[in-house]
Amino acid sequence: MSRRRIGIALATLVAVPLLAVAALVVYLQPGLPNASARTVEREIARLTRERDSLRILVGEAAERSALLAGRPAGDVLIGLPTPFVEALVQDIVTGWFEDVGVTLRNLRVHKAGDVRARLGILGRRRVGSYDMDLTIDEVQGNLRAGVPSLSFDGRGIGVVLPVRVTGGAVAATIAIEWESKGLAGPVCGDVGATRAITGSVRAEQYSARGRIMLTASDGMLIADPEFPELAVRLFVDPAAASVAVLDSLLATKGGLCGIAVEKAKASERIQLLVARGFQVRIPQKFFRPVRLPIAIERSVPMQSGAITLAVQPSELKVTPATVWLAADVAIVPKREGAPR
Amino acid sequence: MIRALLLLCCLSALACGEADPERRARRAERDQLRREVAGFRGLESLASTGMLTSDREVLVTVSDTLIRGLIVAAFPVTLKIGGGVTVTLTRATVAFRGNVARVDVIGQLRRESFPRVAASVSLRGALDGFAVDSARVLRARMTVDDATVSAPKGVPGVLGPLVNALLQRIVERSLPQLASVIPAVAIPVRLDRAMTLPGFGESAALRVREVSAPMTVTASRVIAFRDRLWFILKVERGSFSAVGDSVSSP
Repeated sequence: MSRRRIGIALATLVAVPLLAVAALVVYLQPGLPNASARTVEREIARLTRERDSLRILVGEAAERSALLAGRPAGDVLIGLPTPFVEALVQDIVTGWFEDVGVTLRNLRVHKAGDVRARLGILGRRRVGSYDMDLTIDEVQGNLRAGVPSLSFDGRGIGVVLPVRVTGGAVAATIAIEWESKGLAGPVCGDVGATRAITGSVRAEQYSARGRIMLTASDGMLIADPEFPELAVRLFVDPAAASVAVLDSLLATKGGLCGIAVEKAKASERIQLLVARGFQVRIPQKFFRPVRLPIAIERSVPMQSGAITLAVQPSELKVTPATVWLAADVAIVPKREGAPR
Repeated sequence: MIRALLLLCCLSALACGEADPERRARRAERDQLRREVAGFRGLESLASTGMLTSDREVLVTVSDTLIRGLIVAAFPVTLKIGGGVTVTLTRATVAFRGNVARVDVIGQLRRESFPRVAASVSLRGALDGFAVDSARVLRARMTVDDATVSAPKGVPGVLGPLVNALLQRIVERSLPQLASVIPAVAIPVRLDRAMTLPGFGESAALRVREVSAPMTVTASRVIAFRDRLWFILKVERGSFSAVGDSVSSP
C-alpha cells in the first residue's frame, strides 16, 4: 500500500464521521430556545394587532383629507397644494414686478387758445392767443405688485393683483408762443419761450384682474398668465418752480400786457395739459408662460442605462385644495440586443 | 481527493452555525412588522397634523405598479461575493404594506469552480433612503434585511443541507455588498434647480429683466400606503436675481 493510499484512507476515516455528525447537526439543529421563540411569537402577535388598528385609523384619516379629495388616477401624480401654488404665484408675480421699468419717450401734447380779459369800460376783449407745445422727453416710472388674491377653480386660478405705480422722473420741454391781440398788441407784442420742465410721476394704485391658466405639456406644468386689459395711467406732476419760470417771463411785461399775461396763467394751463395723465397699456405678451419647477420625466437614469418611459398625461385637475398633474407611465421595453 | 475532503471538513464546521430557516423567517417577519408599525405611527401623527406641514411642500405619488416595473427593469444584476460564488439577481416583487414598501428580490447563486454548486437566493428588504441626487432625480435605495438560500443543486442529497448552510453563511456575510449593488430606483419626476422668469422688452415701454431664483428640493417624508408611494418634497426658493443683462424682445 503506497503512502498516498494510506493518506486517503486516514483522511476518509476522519472526514466521513465528521461529515456525518455535521449533517446530523444541521438536520437536528434545535430551533429557537422555547423562551426566545415564545418572545418572538408574542411580539409578532402584538405588532400584528397594533398594525391592523393603526391601518384603520390612518385609512379613515386619509378618507377625510381634503388634500387628497378628488385626485385623478394615474401612475404618477404631482400634487401642488393650494398654499404652495399661492406662494409660487406670489413668487412669480413678485419676481416679475421686482424690476419693471416703464419708460415713455417723446410724448407730445399741444394746446392753443385765445385769452380774453375785461378791460374796464371796453368790456371783455380778446387780449391774445397762446400756443403751447409740451414735449415729454422722458417719463420713467416703476411698477410693483402687491400680494395677489387667488381663487382656484376648474383649470385656472383667478388673480386679483394690486399693482402700484411708484414714483419716477419726468423730463419735458415746453414751447409757448404768445401773440398779443387787440389793444394789447402794440404794447405787449409777441412773446415766445422754450423752457425745460422737470417733474415727477405720481404714485397710484391699480387693481389688475386676470387668470393664470394651468396647462400640462410634455409632462410639465405650465402657468400661463392672462391679463387682457391691464393698463396703467402715469400722472405727471410738473415741478412748480419749472412752470413758474414761464409765468415770470411773461410777467416782465407791464401795463396792459401785464393784465393779458396774468389772464393767460401759463402754469395753470400746463397743469391742465398733463392732468389727464398718460395711459400705458401693458400688453398680454408681457406675461410669458412660466414652467413650474417640477415635471414628469420621459426617462430615468439607471446604472445600466436610461429607462425610456411612455408618458401619457391623463389629467390636469384643480380642486379647491390641490392642483394635480396626473400621467399614466409605462416602461418601454428595451430592444433585444440593446446594451444594458 | 484530500483537497475535497478538507473542503468538506470546512463545510461541516461552518454548517454547525445558526441556519434554522424558520427561525430566520420569524425574525424577519417581526422586523418587517416593527417597520410597518413604526411607519403607521408616522402616518398617525400626519393624520392629526395633516399630510403636509408647510406651504413649501408638494406631493409626488407613484403607483406600486410603476415602482415594481422600475425595479424589475434594473435587473438582472450580477455580483461576485466571497467563496467564489457569483450571485445573479433576476426579479423583484414590491408590496406596499403598512407604511413600508417591501421588496423581495430573487435570483440564483452559482459556484463555477470545484465543487460546483448552484442554489436559489431570495433577499427581503424595503425601499429606503429616499433622496434627491445631484442630477435632480428622486431616488430610493433598497435596504436588505434578510437573505435565504434554498434548493441547492449539484450536490448529493445528503450533503444538500450542509451546502445550503454554507452558502447561506456566505450570502449573509455579503449582505451589505449585495444591498449596494441593487440599483436605486429613480422616480420619473424632474425637480428643477432654479425657476426662471423670462425677460421682456428692451426698447418697449415696459422693460423687465430676466430673473432666476435658485430652488432646493429635498425629500421631506416618504409614505407608503394604498398601493402607492407618497413623497413629500420640500421646495425652498431663494431670492430672484437678474440673469446677466440679457433681455429678449417680445
